[in-house]
Formats: sequence, C-alpha cells, structure tokens
Amino acid sequence: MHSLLTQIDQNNFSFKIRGNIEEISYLEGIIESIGLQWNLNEKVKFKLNLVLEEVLSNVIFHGFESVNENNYILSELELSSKEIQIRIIDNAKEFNPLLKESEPANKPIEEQTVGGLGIHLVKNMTVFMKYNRKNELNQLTLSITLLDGN
Amino acid sequence: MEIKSTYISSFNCFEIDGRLDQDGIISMQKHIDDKMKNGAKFFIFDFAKLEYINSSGLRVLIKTQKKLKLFDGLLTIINPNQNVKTLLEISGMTEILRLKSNFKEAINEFTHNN
Repeated sequence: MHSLLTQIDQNNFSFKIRGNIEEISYLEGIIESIGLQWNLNEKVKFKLNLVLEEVLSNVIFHGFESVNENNYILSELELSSKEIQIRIIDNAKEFNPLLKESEPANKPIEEQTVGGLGIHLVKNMTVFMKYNRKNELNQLTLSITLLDGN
Repeated sequence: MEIKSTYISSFNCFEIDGRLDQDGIISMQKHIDDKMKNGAKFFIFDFAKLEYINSSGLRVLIKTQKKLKLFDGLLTIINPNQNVKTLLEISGMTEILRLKSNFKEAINEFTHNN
C-alpha cells in the first residue's frame, strides 16, 4: 500500500499532502492501492484520479498564497455500494471551486482561465458536489458513481 | 511516459505511451513547438497507448489546434481508449478537433478533402 495512505477500515481511506504541486505525482500510486483494495475497474480509477488531481491542483494553485510547511490538503474517501464519497479538507484561504465558471474546450481560448476546464471536467465526472467553509478550513465533498453509464 | 515522433505523408505523428503527467506535458509542448517552428501544420496524436491525461494536457492540445487553425493546419487524435475518449467528449474537444479511429482513416479523409 502507498506510504501516504491510511486505511481507517475496509471502506475508508485517507491521505494528506502538503500544498506542493510535485506531490500530485503520488496520486497514481495512491489510486492504484485504493483500486486494489476496493476492486475498482479502470473507468472508476480513471475518474477518481482525474477528479482528485483537478481538485487538489486547484487548491494548490488558487488556494495557497505561498509555499508554507503548514499547508495541507487532507483527502478522505469512503466506499458505499453505489458510489465513492470524497471529502477534501484544506487550510488554504477561502476558495469555493463551485463558484468558478465551468469552461469547456470549445469556449474561445482568449476567454478561458486556468482551472476552468478542470472544474468543467470535475462537474461532469461527479454526481454530487458541496462546498463549505468551517473553522477556517475549506471542505469540498464530491461523489463518484460506481454505476455503469455515468 | 514516452513520446515517439515520426513523419509520415506530410503528417507529424506523436505516439504517447503511458500517463501524460506534468513532465510529459512539458515534453509534449516542446515537441509541438519545435515542429511548428519548422513550419509543421499537420499533426496526428496517436493515443492508443495513452493511459491518462489531465486538463493541463488537454489545454496544450486546444492551444495547438487553435494556433494550427490560423495556418490552415490540422490536429487529429487517433485510437484513444474509452476513458480518454469520454474525457475528450466531456471536455468539448471533439467539437474543435478531429477524432479518428486509426491512422488510415485520418489520412484518407484528409486526402479526400484536400
């Protein structure tokens, strides 16, 4: 199992990274470990990897104002019969990705902003998204369906 | 991740093998820039062995397509696996660039239209 990953019980994992873009490269191994434990198919692993990468990158690029050793992003994943619920908690400045405009690729390039396409993909690959700010922490909850056709 | 570059019948072909991560995206951008500096206008990206791409990778392809359009150039993606194909569709990229099943199909249609 990946060294950053903590298995809380059969259906719950968590991992924590610092606000450093190089740590995004750990996601591949983390997803492989979770995929093995939960017997996820390639489609679900692909979605899980993409959703986590886009959201975590957004927090790192837009949330943290400077590189600081206290920066962290905690990801908690819970498996149920129909979906994987992901909760992402970070101590960056207030940043609600749901307010960021979704920008598909066919929008004129001069009107596109960095992160807009990523959010567009995340919104289309999840079945639920909720943001709240509590105790000076950003909390984003998302769900990925395990059902075919989504 | 590995990028293989070949030149076949006026087309600059890039075969992407593995996961297109951050280093891979920089490498892909450099390959494209080098070819475009030398006047290349027709690109084929063979995604048969591409396992994963993120929004940064897609943005490189979008920017390239939009630059090529100014010079009557063309960017074609061939052979994506089902996960990558779905991502291309969700992103809206299938509306701005060509997606074909294989190299022959990409070349044939181009030849018939030009």
